[in-house]
Amino acid sequence: METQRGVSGTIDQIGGPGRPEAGRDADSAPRLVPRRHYLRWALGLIVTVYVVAIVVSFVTNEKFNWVVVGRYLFDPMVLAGLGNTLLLTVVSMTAGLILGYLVAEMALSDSTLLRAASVTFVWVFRSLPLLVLLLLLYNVGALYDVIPIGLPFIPPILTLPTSGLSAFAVAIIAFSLHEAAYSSEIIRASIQSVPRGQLEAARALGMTRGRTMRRVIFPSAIRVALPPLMNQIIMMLKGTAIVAFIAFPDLLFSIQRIYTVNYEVMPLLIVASIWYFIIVSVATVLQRSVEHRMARVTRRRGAAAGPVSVGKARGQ
Amino acid sequence: MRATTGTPEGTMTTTASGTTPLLEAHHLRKTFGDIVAVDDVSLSVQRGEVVCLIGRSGSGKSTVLRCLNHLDPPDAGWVAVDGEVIGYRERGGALHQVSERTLASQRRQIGMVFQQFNLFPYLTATENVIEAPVGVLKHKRSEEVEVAHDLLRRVGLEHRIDAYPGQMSGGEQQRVAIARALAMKPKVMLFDEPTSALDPELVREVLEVMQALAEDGMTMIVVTHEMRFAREVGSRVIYMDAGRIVEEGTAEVLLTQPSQERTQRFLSRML
Repeated sequence: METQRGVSGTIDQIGGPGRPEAGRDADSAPRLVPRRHYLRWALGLIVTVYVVAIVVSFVTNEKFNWVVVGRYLFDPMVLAGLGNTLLLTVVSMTAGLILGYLVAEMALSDSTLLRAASVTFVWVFRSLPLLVLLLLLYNVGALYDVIPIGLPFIPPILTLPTSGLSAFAVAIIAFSLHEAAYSSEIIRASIQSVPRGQLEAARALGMTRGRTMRRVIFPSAIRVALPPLMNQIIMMLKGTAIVAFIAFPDLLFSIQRIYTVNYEVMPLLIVASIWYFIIVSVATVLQRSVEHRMARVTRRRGAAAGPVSVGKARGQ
Repeated sequence: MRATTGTPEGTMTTTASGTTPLLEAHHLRKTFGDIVAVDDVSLSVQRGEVVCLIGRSGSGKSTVLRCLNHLDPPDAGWVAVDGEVIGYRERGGALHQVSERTLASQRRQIGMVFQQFNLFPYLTATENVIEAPVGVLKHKRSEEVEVAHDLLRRVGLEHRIDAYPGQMSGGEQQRVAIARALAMKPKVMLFDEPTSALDPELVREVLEVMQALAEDGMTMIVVTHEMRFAREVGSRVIYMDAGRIVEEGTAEVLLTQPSQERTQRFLSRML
């Protein structure tokens, strides 16, 4: 009783002198004062000052040579290189994902042989550094004169001379294999993340494997797989820069070709950086919007269905 | 009264003379590694019967249910629904295992309701119900939506037709699951502890739906711990222990005057 009276007394005093009319009103509550985060403000200020200093140095340092950057940003050769980088990424990512899905299905198969083949594939192409794989394939002519297409041990339908393999073809094969090994693990894990009960429900309903995959597994698995797959796509996009080693004219190689002539090394590397920034930013925005849309499927309709249905239920 | 009482362990019971049973299981056996989950279980269920499987956890009753529609294919024995052997085709005096696709089509005559509901989370209640009729039986979507709304009304969910599973209570989800199974017009419905994952106050709404279904003449096999449901709705009760059928009989007789000591002990703990 003593303390209670004490507390209420304090409240009265708070309301009292500051806001006399509120203090006497029984319904009014004391004013709530949020805590002030002085350390947070101070640290924020320090970081801001540093960032500004860095940006200022970018602008004031004449060696950046922004005029040259501006001149080459839309240079036809740079744009052609950019196009090649995008083409390489899209083609090898598509092939890599298809192959990766097959490898993941093999990993989940009931057949020991298929599982072993899948594990071996992933093991081999995750062990090899991408650059080493690229150089190995580029020089495969030293091992095989022709690549036979057809069934093993019988005369092939078609033979491809290895000397005819372009840098582009080599790059696509290398990146696809590399990508397939990594994405197969992501795909396998995302398929396994789908609760078993949902698969059993689909089987009990008499749904076929293919339909279960499309209607039950895929919608769940894609939500799990999308962020890491997007990571892979972004890594691959930037990773394609190593094709400069086999003289394929991607963005970086085109830039190099220009600066070996005019010696404007830094401005041209900045041109390349700006383009990589732009593509990755676009990819990130796309990913966010897809993720947002997938989350909204359940959220939005839920918000609409909830109150309406409650109202109906009450009405009856 | 079709059912017989107090049959000894594991023997086949003929519940009615003359008519062929809707569902027959012959000497089912299922092992998981060293564990014998189901040991020589035979069942015979007549059209319109409600058979309740009771027993302790781990007594094999859920596995029996999962053997019936080959979610867990039995290691030995076979199951026939309406004379058709599930998972096999008879050829030259032997039963040859059928393809996954054929098995899927055979399963369509057996509905199943799970303890954890297992609704498809990215589909609404209606979409969950029409998924199999439209996708598997290739029925017209507009017609199936009508059927689905009708079924959802029957289970008391006309106000939840567009709700996603995540927005529904456990009881509502389980009733959608029942509607989803019914949409395939199964000959027999299997219920695997349909109320075990529900909050106590939600159990009744699901049991009421099941009771209404039984009264409509649906053939049902129910694994349950709800003794009241077994007594009031079950036409026959089977008590299982250690993978075997210990005793079976009419609900009234088995639940009140069990002849086996093990059944008596189990029931004295449950009631």
